[in-house]
Amino acid sequence: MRRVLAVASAGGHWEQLMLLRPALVAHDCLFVTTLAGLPERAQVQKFEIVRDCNADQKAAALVCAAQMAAILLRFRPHKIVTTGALPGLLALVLGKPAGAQGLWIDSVANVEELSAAGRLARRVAAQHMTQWPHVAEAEGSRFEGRVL
Amino acid sequence: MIFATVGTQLPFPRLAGYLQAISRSSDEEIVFQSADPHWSSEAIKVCAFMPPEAFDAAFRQARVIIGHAGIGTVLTARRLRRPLIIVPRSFALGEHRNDHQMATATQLASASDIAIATDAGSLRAALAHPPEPMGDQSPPERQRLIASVAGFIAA
Repeated sequence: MRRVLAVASAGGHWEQLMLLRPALVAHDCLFVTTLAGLPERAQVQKFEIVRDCNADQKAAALVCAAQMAAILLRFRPHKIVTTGALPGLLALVLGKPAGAQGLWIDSVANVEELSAAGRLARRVAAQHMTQWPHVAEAEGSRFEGRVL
Repeated sequence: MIFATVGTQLPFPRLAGYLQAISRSSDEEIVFQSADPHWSSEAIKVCAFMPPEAFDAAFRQARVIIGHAGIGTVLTARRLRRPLIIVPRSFALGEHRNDHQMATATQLASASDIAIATDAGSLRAALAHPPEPMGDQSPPERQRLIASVAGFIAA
């Protein structure tokens, strides 16, 4: 059993992560999202809420990064799995020096190209996936299946 | 009841306009999650944002869902097995940061449980004959992705 930090922003990112739960249930998994009430709705017991942020919100991103660093220090995950967006990228960036291997799964919404966060995630993720084969080929990622 | 939702990131004024027009010519109740605290309407019950439980409750009560082409909306409609009509946001009209919703709509065009409307006329037609929901089918491609994620964790 591994300690797995599973990170997804509210909305489509979170819904996609929920569909991947069968891969996580055998492990000690801590879920992180950005909207109170989401984990409860999905009957997720072990979770943390962090500040939502995007690339246009520098202050919120700093708060989110600090929260994520505190979570990483406490939980010490072996692996980080994220379906995006910026909070997931922050988890990978902060987790890597602490020895946590990261998996980035770009949202199925990014049909034509990687998301901006997904592009940056290539530098820090131990494994990087897109849900579209043509995007994998064009952008140096991997196609390993799709939630839809 | 018609439940319309545009997600949490950006308002969607064009869709709000369609809903206004529909409310004028129909008695059916419309509930609208607008992502816009400044938008209001006499005929439409508007809520800028909704907590997750209330959002699910609105989905469950609705005869039909009208949404933007967000993956969260699509997956929620399938999870709760509700008929879904999507109106994709257009980059050309300044409705999103890029045109990924058009690409999503193109990818979903063959799905029999989702109708795609791009103007008021096609939205009205879809409301009159909503698609048949099929729920979440867990396609083989998802099983493959789950196996890959499980493999990554175990490695």
